[in-house]
Amino acid sequence: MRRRAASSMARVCLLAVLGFLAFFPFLFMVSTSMKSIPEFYRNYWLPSMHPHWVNYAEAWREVRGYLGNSIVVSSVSVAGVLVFSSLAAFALGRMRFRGRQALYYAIIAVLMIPPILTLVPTFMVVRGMDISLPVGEWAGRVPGLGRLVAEGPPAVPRWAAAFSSLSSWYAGAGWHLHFRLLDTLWALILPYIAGGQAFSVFILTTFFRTMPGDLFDSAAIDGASRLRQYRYLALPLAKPVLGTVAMITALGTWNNFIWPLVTISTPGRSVITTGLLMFGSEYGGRYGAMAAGQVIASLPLVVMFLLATRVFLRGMTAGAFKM
Amino acid sequence: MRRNGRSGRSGDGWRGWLFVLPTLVLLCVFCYYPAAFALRMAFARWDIGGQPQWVGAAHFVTLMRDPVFIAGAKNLLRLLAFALCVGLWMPLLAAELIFHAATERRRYLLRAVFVVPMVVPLIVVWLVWRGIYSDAGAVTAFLELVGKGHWIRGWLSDPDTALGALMFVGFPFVSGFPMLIYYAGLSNISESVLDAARIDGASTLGAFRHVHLPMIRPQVRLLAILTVLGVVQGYEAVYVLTGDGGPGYCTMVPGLYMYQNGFSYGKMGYASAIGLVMFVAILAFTLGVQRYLRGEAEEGRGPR
Repeated sequence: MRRRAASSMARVCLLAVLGFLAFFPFLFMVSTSMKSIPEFYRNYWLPSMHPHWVNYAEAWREVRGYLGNSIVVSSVSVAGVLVFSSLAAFALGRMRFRGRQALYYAIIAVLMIPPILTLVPTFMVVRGMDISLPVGEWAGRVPGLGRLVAEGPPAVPRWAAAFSSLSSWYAGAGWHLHFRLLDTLWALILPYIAGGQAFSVFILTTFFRTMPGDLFDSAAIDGASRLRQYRYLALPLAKPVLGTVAMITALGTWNNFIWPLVTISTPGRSVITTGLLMFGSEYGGRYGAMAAGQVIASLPLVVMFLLATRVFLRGMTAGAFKM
Repeated sequence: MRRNGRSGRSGDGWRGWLFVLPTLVLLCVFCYYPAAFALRMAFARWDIGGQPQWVGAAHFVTLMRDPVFIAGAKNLLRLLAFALCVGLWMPLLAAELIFHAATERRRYLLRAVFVVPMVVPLIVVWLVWRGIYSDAGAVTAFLELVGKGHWIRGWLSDPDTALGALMFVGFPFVSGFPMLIYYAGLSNISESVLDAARIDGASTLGAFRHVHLPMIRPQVRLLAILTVLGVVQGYEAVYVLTGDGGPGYCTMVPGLYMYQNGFSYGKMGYASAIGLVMFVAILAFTLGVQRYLRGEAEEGRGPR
């Protein structure tokens, strides 16, 4: 009995040591974020007795724009992944049509394409989505649109600029409408939505296939169209799976770093990952503010985790055993 | 054939395609077309802004003699060896320890706590570790504290320690996704098997070696594959910690070299060639593992 107590004691100690080592960097980050620069050097290891909250104000001013962009990009991407992949998965899992199986394999096969192969060419594709239309010339020929030619299209509001793929400029004869993807948030969102499809379709199709067919048959007898069956039957029942997909997509898009690094060049359109890197290099020596920025950048995901711990713990291992 | 036609009429026909259409368009534009494009670009000299020039397999010949790429590949093998020998097993240790906790509630709480670092954005993890290795960082401060000041060096700028420092980013590697997978594997072992081991008087270590380890082989396998895929494709950490793979090429990895060629030097063709080589390596690895697993499964089916 005593031997057992000793070994359980050893286990607890080992776990505590591992836990401390795993958490030390983050504890240190939080502790540093509350120290002024002199205190950082004077009291290196221990947390501060007099929190220096100014660090957070300073970091917030710097980071809030990036944080907002990241929140927009991640939530639009999650919504896009959920909507499009669930539609496709519903068709592949529950509808009957020619070419269904081939289509399913074609979509799943995307999982075999590693991101490292497509980084450069996807960049070229996105860079190539750059079209300008001589709207001014056309508009001049349409009666009643003379003013548009004279004054040009309305200016894009500031808040929408990062999101807008449309811009316009004067060139010779008149206004051109310029459409481009590079250096807008769409350059992130669209590839993220595409990149999330294969995994999500895979998980959701499996789920829809295991749903009892009688459910859909009786709905069909009641006159529910496929769209209604999808909306009011399949989607509500798939909520836990959708939650898993949403979480994985949110984590992935929030963490993505190289893609925003190469596609976004306007600092005001940066997301939190690239923004934080810039913040880190600009503020050499201001450890407190940098750490505060890192804490702020971590908060949204940590809060999401705390709100949905149970879903998270169960969800992350879903789909991992179907190999 | 007739039958198919009739069931096609009672089926959903074009409506099915309509449901799949958005996904299909997105995948074609952002996944399939780029993948096909990569194959073509790898065989062309294509400086950004210029016109592609067909050069055949020249890129691959150059690549095999490119000292930077070779240095990167060697570093990658070292990183891989470390990840497979150490990084793969530490989460199992944590999962075992948590699995042995007394009550279900405690196990749940411990899992929740150990998973938290997983939701910290990777960029924060890398920046924090960059700070740990810096002159004002924890490693240096700790050595000063214990009076080993003469050991201090620029951990990321000294050729002797830079790659090692990269390996230890994330130490002790216990938290997050792999731990959850291992834990799920352990909790799937049926109670009767565990009881049998206990009744037979197996020690903790014995039970681990002869019961746990064989039962969680699928999880080990899955995580080993994911580790290989992740390490081979991972270069963001290197970018954040040492920037250009320095000092010299001490921390260069092929992925970073691809990034540099594509986005710093504007050599899109050469970058695509590197990407293609890595894709082939990954594909060969995946197919090899699958063949090995199939062989093993067939062996397992025979009489024991």
